[in-house]
Amino acid sequence: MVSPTIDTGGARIPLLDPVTDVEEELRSQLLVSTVDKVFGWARRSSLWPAMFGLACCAIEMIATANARYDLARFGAEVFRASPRQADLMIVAGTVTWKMAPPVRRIYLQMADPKWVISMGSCSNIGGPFAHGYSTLPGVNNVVPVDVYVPGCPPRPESLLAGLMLLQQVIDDEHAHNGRKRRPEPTGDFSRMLPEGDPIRAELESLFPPYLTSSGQARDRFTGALPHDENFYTSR
Amino acid sequence: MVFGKGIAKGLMTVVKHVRKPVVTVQFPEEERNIPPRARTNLVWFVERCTGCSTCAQSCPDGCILVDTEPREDGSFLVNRYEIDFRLCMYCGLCTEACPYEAIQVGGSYTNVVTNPNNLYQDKDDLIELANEYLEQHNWVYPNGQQAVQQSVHPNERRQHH
Repeated sequence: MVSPTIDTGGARIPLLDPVTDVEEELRSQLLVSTVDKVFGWARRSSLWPAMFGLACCAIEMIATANARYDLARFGAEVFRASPRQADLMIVAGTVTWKMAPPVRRIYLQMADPKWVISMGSCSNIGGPFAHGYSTLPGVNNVVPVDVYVPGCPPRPESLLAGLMLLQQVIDDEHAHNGRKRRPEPTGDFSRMLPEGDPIRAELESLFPPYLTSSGQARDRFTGALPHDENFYTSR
Repeated sequence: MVFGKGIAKGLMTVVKHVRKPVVTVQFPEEERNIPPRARTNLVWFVERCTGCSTCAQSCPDGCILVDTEPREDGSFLVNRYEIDFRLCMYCGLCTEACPYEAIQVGGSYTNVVTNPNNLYQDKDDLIELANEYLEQHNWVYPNGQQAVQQSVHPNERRQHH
């Protein structure tokens, strides 16, 4: 990776990164940290979830948005049908292998900063289908997950507790200058799917460096192939 | 077609509902009463457990691990008792299978984590959770029976008999 530099007529001076190059003591005293705190407050107080109900957990997610539990008290009531307008993905339900590439693609389509809540045993690790042939063993193989909510399905209170924990996580992120501690998925499916599997090929093309099996570069946001006139009509 | 008819209708609905009690449960401050057999977390009480591992055999997910060792008097010492709450589907079949009601439903349901491996609870974690539950509920088990307040580790105490 090439570090950013300033070109001052011949000599290239490396640009300081405010996250890694500023000393620990100084970092909290900079104006950046104060602005970040305001950003963090704004971000955690208006999380817009993308609608991503996959199974029975979605019913509890809908119940959480209803008047009895009222997700609007946490500023997260605006369920968006478009991932472009959302910054939180609540993966509620069983993620099958068939559904795994769309999950990854919708995550890539969301604008940064974005967070993921894995709701229910199925998306946490596969749940009762963990040893099955058709289910992804944990949605964290596909997208980085911030908060795991156990339950089958979790009660609406559990999801609210998960949302409150996520708000704490966002606050901590900004206290540590935007460093994300959640592990990124590796994109290695060689232990789960056989060689030549079309879903494996599609999933691997959605991970860096975003190459298809024929070596073409995909668009890193939409997964679309460039200069492919038949992309939308062929599927 | 009257101008403002829709707004008047909407305002009438607001006026009608403004004196009704609020249905929203302010969750972190107040909690709803949950039914006694709701699918909440499992609580395992070491003092009731005999180590027969019927729960582990009845679990469809295989998320319970029991490892025992025979004592001199013929009873079992439970060396390891672990529940994988990542895998658990909270069906409660283990609670129905247990002949001594050592594992019961009724625990907390807000144990959200950022690291999924923290949901794997070993024996010490489960004892801690059970003690926490009993302290909060006036030393009454979820099935309504009275628990004995004890300071000695139950397995140790049974060994002295």
